[in-house]
Amino acid sequence: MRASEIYTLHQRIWHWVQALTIGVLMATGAEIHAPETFRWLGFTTAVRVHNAFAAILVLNAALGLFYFFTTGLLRQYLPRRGDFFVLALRQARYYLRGMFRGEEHPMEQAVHRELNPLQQVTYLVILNLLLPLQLLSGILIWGAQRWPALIESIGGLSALVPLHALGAGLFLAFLVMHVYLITTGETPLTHLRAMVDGGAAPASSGEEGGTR
Amino acid sequence: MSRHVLLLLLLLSVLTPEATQAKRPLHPDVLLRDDSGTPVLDSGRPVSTARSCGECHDTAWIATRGAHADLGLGPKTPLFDPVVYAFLDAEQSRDPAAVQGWLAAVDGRHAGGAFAERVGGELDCLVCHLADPDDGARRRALTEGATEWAITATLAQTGLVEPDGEGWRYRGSRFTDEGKAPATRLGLTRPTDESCGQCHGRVEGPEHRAFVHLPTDRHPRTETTGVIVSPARMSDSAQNLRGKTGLSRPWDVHAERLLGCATCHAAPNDPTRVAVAEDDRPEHLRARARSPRLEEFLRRPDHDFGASPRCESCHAAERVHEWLPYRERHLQKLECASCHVPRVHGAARKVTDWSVPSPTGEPRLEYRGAQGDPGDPATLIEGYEPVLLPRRDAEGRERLAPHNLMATWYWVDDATQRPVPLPALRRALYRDDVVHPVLAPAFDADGDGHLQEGERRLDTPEKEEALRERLRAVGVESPSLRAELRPYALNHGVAPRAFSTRDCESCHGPASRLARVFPVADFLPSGLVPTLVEDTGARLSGGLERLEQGALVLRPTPEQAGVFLLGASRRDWVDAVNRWALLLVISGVVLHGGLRLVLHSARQRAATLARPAEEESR
Repeated sequence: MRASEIYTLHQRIWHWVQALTIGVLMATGAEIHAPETFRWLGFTTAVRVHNAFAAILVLNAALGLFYFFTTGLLRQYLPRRGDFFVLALRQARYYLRGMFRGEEHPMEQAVHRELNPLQQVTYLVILNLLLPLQLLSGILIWGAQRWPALIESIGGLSALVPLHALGAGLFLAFLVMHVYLITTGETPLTHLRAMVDGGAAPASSGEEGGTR
Repeated sequence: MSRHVLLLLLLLSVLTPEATQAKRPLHPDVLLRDDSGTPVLDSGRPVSTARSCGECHDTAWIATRGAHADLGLGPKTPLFDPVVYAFLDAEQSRDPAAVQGWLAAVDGRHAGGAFAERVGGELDCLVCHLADPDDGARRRALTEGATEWAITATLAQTGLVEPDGEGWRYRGSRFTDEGKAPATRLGLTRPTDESCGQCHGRVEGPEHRAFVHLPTDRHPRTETTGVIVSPARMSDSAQNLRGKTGLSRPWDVHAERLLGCATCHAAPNDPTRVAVAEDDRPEHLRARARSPRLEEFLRRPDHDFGASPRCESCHAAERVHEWLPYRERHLQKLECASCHVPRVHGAARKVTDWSVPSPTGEPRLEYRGAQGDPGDPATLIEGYEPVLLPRRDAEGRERLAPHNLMATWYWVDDATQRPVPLPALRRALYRDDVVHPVLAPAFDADGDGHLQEGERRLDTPEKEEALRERLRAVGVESPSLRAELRPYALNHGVAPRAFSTRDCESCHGPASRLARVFPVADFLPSGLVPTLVEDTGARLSGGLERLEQGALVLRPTPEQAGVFLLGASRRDWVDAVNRWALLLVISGVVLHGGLRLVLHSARQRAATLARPAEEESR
């Protein structure tokens, strides 16, 4: 890792693998859910591809969790500062007003401080609620023939599949927002470039100080 | 003599009918006896199977085993058979006149025994076990009141008997010197498919491949399902089938593979078929040495075929179907026939309407799968796709299985809870085959005195009330119209692999079979919607819906069928929430991004304009 990198190589690989698998899962999931509207691979192939990429996603998520935990990068996802709500409000005001006026970002992105407060909350929900919900419901749907009694006891496919579909729809909404917010850097491509080449932290980057 | 002539003579000696007849069958010659035990050649009285076959086989015990003797009162037989308008309850079965009427209604399709003994009918072994039984003669004897001669009549094709007035006479010269019926003439054998087909539906052997079957041919089982059992290819038949040249498949793949009815519907104690389950075998033994002996089986062959054979008895479905995703899940939810009987290439009854029968006592019929008059050989047979209904099997497991649905309307006397007898209904409607004068104003629209098919419909309250009054006049205490919907399971007419369902989207898609509308009836007498009978183990997989034109359809849904089907089932509220969430986010992005762009451009322009002014001021 370069001293001035914002995103490590591992983070970037994890991110792009995640992006690819989620993209394929979205596409194949849409075909499985509504084959009359989305016709790409055929139903049978869509199911097989969906299962395969789900396995990759689970593996990638597990590896990612291990990496973030052992390197301490997990901490940046946790809102810890006492002035969290003040900073969050500041960030919200920037998105709703400051951005249109050309004001400076209230928080400067740095190594080990990649996320603003609003991002922390969002990713907390996504990574701890929505993604596990999708993983768990997907595994149970896949296992309906292996554990029929268990599946029936929790409502069967008629409960699991709509839950999985709801999670997928909300995930899609998040993705649209995520892709848009990438463009809110110094230039529209700043954040995207950072996720490709690691980005460059400012010389004064540290744990405290500076605003983004 | 030359070698060639000798060879020819040898060949001829083998092929002559006499030589063929001289081959000894397994069954010995039979001394035919009457019910007193006297040889029939001496008494001239009807054959008794209890005394004849009973010499070696325990016919009394056999008659207690299975539905053939019990038919009409057994648990699998509905009290009322709407196909032929036959009704028999336990009380009526004790009345010889009612039993005779029932036998006439079912056209003699009864093997005898049990309650039939009230009218002199014994269990007729010969109708199933002769190589060439005269079923027509037998049934005529049963339906015309000469029931005691039914068994003897079965022998007509053997040449051992000939008609003699109301009875039959024995041709002594055809018997052996000991007065026995020669085994070579009887041709006693295990039941052939054609024997079973006498009652159970249209069966054709390979030598009759170019057959024609009309839906109006009286094969009740084929009428209710449309299934024909034959090893021949459909394209070789004389049936006018849609897409016939492409139907290079057999009518039934099991028949093509030389399996007969008796292969699957076998005696449970047949020693050649008794398989010892692993968990029945004692742990210390590799094999079970004791097994039923042949002589025990021959003495008491168990005729209880009631436990319907399952595909799983022979087929290990879990070892094949590698191409099928979630194979176990499919096997848990679907019976084999759901995919392996995907279509019936025959016409089947859709409606049997007894509300206003013809002067000859015929119902109004609607068929599915036939375009035009089903009695015309030129009628195009389109076939139909059966509806998948949830059905509970003997183990209590509910799975989807293919069925035909037949709706029927008939009059019932609420005072007795019995269908109005057909003669009474005809007396109410007609006088000497002409519509009754009381009913003419309501029914006879063209005033010709006869009711055409279009006039034999209860399509106004006035007609219904007028007929109800006439029924009361002929002695029906409390007439009411009843409507039933009866499912008929499809277990035969199995398609070979290439013609079975292999396309996932036939279920998992917008045109899912589990959501396809199934026509029930084009017209509802008195607007009465039929209700599903409850004695078959099957239930509806959706709701009955009346269309604008008055027709009735079944609109199945996967969830009502007991499955949540990927690609076909969904929750509308989930889709709505997702749509709104996406719409909201996209709107926000467009608004926010658009505003950023506009304001950024404005700032750029302002900066550009301000620059020359600064340079000037410097």
